[in-house]
Amino acid sequence: MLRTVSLACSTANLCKNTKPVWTLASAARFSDKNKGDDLETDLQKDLKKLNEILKTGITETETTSSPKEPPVDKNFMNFRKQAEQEAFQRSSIFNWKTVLGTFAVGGTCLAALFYIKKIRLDEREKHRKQTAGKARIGGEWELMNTDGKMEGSQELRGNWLLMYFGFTNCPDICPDEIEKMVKVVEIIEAKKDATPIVPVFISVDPERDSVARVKEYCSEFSNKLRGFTGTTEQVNKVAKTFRVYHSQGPRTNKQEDDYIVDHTVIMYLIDPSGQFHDYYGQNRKAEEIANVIEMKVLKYQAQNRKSLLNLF
Amino acid sequence: MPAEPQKSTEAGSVAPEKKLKACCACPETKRVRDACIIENGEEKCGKLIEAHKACMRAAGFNI
Repeated sequence: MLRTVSLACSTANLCKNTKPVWTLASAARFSDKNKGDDLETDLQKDLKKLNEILKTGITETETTSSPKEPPVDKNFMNFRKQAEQEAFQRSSIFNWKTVLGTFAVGGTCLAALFYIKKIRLDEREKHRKQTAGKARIGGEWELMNTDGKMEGSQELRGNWLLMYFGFTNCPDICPDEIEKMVKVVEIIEAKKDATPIVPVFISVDPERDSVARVKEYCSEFSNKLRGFTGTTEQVNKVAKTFRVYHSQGPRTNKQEDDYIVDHTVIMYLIDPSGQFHDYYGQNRKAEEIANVIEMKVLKYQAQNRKSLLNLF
Repeated sequence: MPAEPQKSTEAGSVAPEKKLKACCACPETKRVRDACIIENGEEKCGKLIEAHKACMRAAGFNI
């Protein structure tokens, strides 16, 4: 009875009734059947509300149970820490020092490659130039020899030739150069197993240098010296072949036939196959030229041996 | 041998200095010209040839 009374009081509070407590007690005592039905409905409502309150309490307990979740958060936090640790370890591998070192090594290798490539290109270019230079100078030529017959590169093939372009009226340079040429030939032939070299004199003064005159002129220097002359057209052609510059000098009024021919002072070395091999200027001495020619001859023979080996 | 002195005397009687100087004058320009002609060909050495001629004219030769 007391419990029912306490419940009634609580329900009264919920119903928001302003009547005092004793009034309710009196009402309970004098209750009719109709009034009893009303109480039952009130009780049901109260029970429902209590159920609701209990549910909310359960939810609260669930919320209070949230502290149990930290272990899951801990795992999550551990995952973060592990990721950070891994990142830190990787950063030690990929630091600035390593990057700079790699670039330095790579750059050095590239520079070395470019340098080597440049050297090779330079060598090829030099070789190309030398080949081109050789190809342009020399070639087939033919002039009148001291016996009055046409002769030239064809007949002289198989011999090393040392050629000089001058003229018989040349006062100083030509005799000196021809003597030098003859001396070179003598120096080379004086040694053992020497390769014979034929000295050749070609006149660039066709107007005055006749066959007889050239013959006499050459015989004064050496019996081995072969002289050549020809018509103006023939001489000009040969001079052009060997890039020899020549032009008639000043003529004096007294004697029209007295003039000096200006020409390049250069000696030419021709190999047995008739190809231009080398040239020597005015400044070089006989001994120097002889040594160079010997080296050239040895190299030429070595190359021929290689070519023979290739054939076989 | 006797022919040579005769030739030299003839040359001397005419114009010994000019003859000697003609082939030996202007060695610098001549050397450069010769090197150019042998290496590049006469067609490409016109300037040097003219330079040598100018030098010869300056030396008193009629070219």
